[in-house]
Amino acid sequence: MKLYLKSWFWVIFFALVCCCCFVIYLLPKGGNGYVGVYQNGELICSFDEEELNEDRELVIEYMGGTNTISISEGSVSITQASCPDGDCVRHGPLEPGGTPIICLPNRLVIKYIDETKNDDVDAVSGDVK
Amino acid sequence: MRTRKLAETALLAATALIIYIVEAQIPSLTNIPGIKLGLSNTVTLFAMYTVGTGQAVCVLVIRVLLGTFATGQVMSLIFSAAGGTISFAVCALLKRVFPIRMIWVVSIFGAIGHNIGQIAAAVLVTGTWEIIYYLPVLIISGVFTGTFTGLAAQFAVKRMGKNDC
Repeated sequence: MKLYLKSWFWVIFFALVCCCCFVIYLLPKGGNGYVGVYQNGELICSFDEEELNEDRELVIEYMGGTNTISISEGSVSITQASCPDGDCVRHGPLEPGGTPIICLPNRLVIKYIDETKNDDVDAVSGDVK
Repeated sequence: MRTRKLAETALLAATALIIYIVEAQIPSLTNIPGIKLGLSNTVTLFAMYTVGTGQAVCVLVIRVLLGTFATGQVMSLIFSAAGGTISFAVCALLKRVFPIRMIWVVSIFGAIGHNIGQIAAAVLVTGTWEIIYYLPVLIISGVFTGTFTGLAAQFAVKRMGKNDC
C-alpha cells in the first residue's frame, strides 16, 4: 500500500502542518519596551517607553519614497506610504508580540527590540530626530 | 508539431496572463503582504500535466514577465520570479510521483514553495530577517490557496484530456 497516494493521508498531514504553523505564529516575537525602526537592515532610530508616550509624526525617506510613522497613545503605526500597495499602512499599529510592520518597497521595518541591545541606540535616535 | 506546440503554449500563456491580471485587480483580503489566491498557477499545473513540463516553463516565464509589465509592479517581479522558480521546481519534481487525481497535493507543495521563495527573496533584498515571522501565516495560506487552485487544475485536466488541448 502506497500511503502517499491516499488522500486522507495528505488531509491529515496538511491539517497538522497548519496547526504547527498556527502555534509558531502565536509564540511571542521577543523584544520589550523599545521600538526600533530599521531601514535596509540598519537601525535608524528607536523609541523607549517615554518617547512612545509623546504623540508625533516622523517622515522617513528612502530613494524618493516616503513613509509617515505616527506615534500616538503609546503605539506606533505607519499612516502614509508612497507605494501603491500600502501593506504597511493596513498592518495597523505595532503590537507587542505581534508581527513587525514591514514596508518592502521602502525597505522599512518597525519592530520591538530588546532593552539590552539598546545602549548604543539612543545616540543614533538623537541624530535622526 | 512545432506549430501545434507554439499554439498550445501561446494559448495557455494568454489564459494565464488574463487570470493573473484579473486577479491583480481584486483587493487583498488580509493585511499580510504576499497572500493571494494565485489562480494563474492553475494554468501552470494544467500545462504541466497536459502538454508537458517544458512547455509549462514557457507558460510560466511569459506569464510572470508580461504580468509584471501589465500590472506595473516591477518590484514584485523579484518576488514573483523567486516564488515561481521554487514553486515550479517543486511541482515538476512531485509531478513524477503524483497522478492526476492527486494534483491538489502537488499544488499545495507548490504554493508553500512559492511563499518560501518569496520570503527568502524579501529577506535577501531588504536584509531584514524579521520577515520570516510571516512564514507560518504564509504556509497556512499556501495550504488553503494551494488546495483551491490544485482542485481547479485537477478538474480542468480531468475534463479536458491530453487530446482536447
